[in-house]
Amino acid sequence: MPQQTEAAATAPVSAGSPRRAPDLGGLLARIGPSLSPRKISGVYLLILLIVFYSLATSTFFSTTTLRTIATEQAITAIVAMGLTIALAAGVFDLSIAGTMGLANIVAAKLMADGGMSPVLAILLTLLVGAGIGVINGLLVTKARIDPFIATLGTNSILLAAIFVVSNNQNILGIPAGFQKIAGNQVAGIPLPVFYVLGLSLLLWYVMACTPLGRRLYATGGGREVARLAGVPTTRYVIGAFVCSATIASLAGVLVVATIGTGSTEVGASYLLPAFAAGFLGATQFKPGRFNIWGTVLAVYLLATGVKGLVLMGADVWVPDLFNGAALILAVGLSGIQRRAKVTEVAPEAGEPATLDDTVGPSTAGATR
Amino acid sequence: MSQTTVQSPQAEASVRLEHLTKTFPGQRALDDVSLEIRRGEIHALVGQNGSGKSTLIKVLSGFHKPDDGSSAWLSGEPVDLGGLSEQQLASMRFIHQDLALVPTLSVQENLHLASSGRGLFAPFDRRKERAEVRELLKTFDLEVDPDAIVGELSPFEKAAVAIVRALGGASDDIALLVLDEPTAALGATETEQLFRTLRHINGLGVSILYVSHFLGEVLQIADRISVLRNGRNVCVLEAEGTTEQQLISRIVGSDVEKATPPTPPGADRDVLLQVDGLRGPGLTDVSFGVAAGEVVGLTGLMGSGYEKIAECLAGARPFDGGAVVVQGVRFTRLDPATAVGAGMAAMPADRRGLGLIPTFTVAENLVLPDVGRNFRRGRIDRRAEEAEVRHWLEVCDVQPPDPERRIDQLSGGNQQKVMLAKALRLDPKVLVLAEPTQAVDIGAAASIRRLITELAERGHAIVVASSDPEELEELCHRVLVTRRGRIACELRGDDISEDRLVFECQFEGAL
Repeated sequence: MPQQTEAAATAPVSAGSPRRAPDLGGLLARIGPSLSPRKISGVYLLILLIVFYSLATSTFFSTTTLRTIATEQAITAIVAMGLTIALAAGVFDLSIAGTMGLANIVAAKLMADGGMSPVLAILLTLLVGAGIGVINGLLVTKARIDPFIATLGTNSILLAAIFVVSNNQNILGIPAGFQKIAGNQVAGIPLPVFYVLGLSLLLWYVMACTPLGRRLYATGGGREVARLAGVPTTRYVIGAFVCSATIASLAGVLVVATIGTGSTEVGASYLLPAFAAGFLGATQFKPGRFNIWGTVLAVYLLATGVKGLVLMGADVWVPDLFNGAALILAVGLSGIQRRAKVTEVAPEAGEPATLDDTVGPSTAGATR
Repeated sequence: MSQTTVQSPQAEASVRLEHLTKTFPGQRALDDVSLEIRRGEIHALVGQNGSGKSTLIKVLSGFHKPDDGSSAWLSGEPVDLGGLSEQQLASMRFIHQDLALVPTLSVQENLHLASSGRGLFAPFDRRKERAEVRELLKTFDLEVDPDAIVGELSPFEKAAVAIVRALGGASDDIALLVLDEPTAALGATETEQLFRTLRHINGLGVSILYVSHFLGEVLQIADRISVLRNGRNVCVLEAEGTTEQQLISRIVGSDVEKATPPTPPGADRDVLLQVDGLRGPGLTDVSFGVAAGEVVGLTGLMGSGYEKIAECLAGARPFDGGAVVVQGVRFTRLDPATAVGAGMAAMPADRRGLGLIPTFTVAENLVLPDVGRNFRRGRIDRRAEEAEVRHWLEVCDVQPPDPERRIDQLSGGNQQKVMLAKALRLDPKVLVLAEPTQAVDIGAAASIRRLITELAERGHAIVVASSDPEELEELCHRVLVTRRGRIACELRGDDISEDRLVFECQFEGAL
């Protein structure tokens, strides 16, 4: 029995099968499982929704509508992606709402009242966001406060900060040039859509393809296990909070550019959609794991559902109802997925597996 | 035993069980067990882990239904253990090791949790209630403040409150009080206090079934002792005139076949691990060395320190003083990464909390400690990773050898093998294995032990922290036994036998 680690060296040779001419059957067998409704039910549902609304309303299937959805939801998607990092690390970040709001005010104030150049203003705002993340991270790792409570607290403090900084006045006089970062289009597609695409590619790469991502998920899946495996979990948790807050402040900056004012009301309305998307996303692509593509898909799935209903004449309270129901459904669904998976393999597993029942992949993992 | 002899009601027996059998899928936990607890006696139940003690208690409490053919009598009345009436259940009271008290409530509140006997919103007279509680505590000869918060009581006082709660005011109707390891959290003087309380209760006419690992204490408190081994009755002994040594030989059994002791490595081998005066909470001046090719066992009673030593070596538990020397490099503090860097890998006992991430696949778990190894050209090379994982799954005989399966879909034995593979992949010279075959079926346990022996032959220095004497006998060249945070003795070669180990773990003569 060889027991040294030559395996790593010999591996690619033995595993790399000789290149063959492309064969359709093999290709299908390889990508087939990832097209299974179990993994991408959301994609099928999205297609279904689009077809249904297109038939049910005369206005839904138009470039205007699609462009509106894509643009309106870009900000939600960005916040939700940041939150996904925190969730993957096993912590809740409720302060993303307050962070967004404060970033929005700070960026507006720096440009309108401070006369600062947009680039500098954006950088400073992101720095403020990162600072909020550091504070959250320290509260959770050093002061050992439950993330839910810690970020609930910081969120409220941020709301106070918004009031103080803005003097409870919306901030006007945002430079027109700055507003172009949200308003301009390339090839008919609004810029924010590209931001979503760029950020999701970057985050997907880091979370799915690098050791850093693997260690992030390990921190969320079992902090002590990860620590014993040599992962500096404290730094990963703080880092996750910093990412989540920085990305939330980026979203806050984009809000200023989109609406052209620094508004004291920004933030709160994004919190629930972000969480709903995060949890719904964890049932997609890689069920049981918070993942970037899942989150992005979920944002647009929820938005399409809401938009169609609105076009069909639904009342103003429908979006709230829809997002809330989706969050509950998503969490319930991941529980069912988890249980189904366990019973599915129980017979051949011999003795009962002992690891599963208490630690859930998406929900329980994120509570501490 | 014929049915006729037991049909006559035995007035003096509080509880009587005959031909009690309990089968779980693939395992007979209790096999034709009989037990008689006479009215007014303190009866002890002893046996090793897995001998059937806890199953027996769970059958008594109505948690498990016994197999057909079992018969039972409560205070002389024949009863059906599978369907005890409320009243019959109420005539037996159970106190489990964790006591089941609410630590944030006061003594009085704990005592009245279940039995307020009033409506949900009925007002109560706090003063009157306090007086009642004081009176109740007095009948048990206890001086505990009814307003004290339970979490702040001494371990003895907590146990006493649990007993008072279990018995309530009505000791007349109670046929049996069952105590499961009541002294596990108690020091010597507190154990004395508890025994005084138990004798007092016993004097009130309550029969007691006392389940414990601490044989010295059992001999002190019990009138008679029933010994279980592998789910069967071995014997019933009168405590008076029985020695600890005799009791141990009954518990272990003389039919244990002696495993061939592993051949010790030559004396000239390098010492790869040296533990030097390790100190910390629950550990006092622990020193020992492990040479290349040597398997050294650490054992003791739960809480005696052996499991903490393994955690310190894994970097999971900080220590206050002393040092760990790995291959000549001296560490006065050890975190997991430095331990691995020094060439020492550990397999923790707590599979769920420290060993594996349940939401990860087999491959992701296995490569976690050095996940960067297959990072090339900007991304983790999945193919290389998978090939590497397949190799280790084969080395450790993991079934099924599927890297992409989620770890919680494997059996306990295979999860254990994945943890071993995870440690071996780091190419350590020193291995620290805690309870390597816990909760593992016999086949998997045998293959894990074979692997450990092979690793030693190949020159690894191995520490096995285990509560399983059979395992230690089979694997170890030397075994260190801890008692109260110190290494109390060292056994070598032929001295490492199951009964000797059980004796050394439980021996209290020195205290």
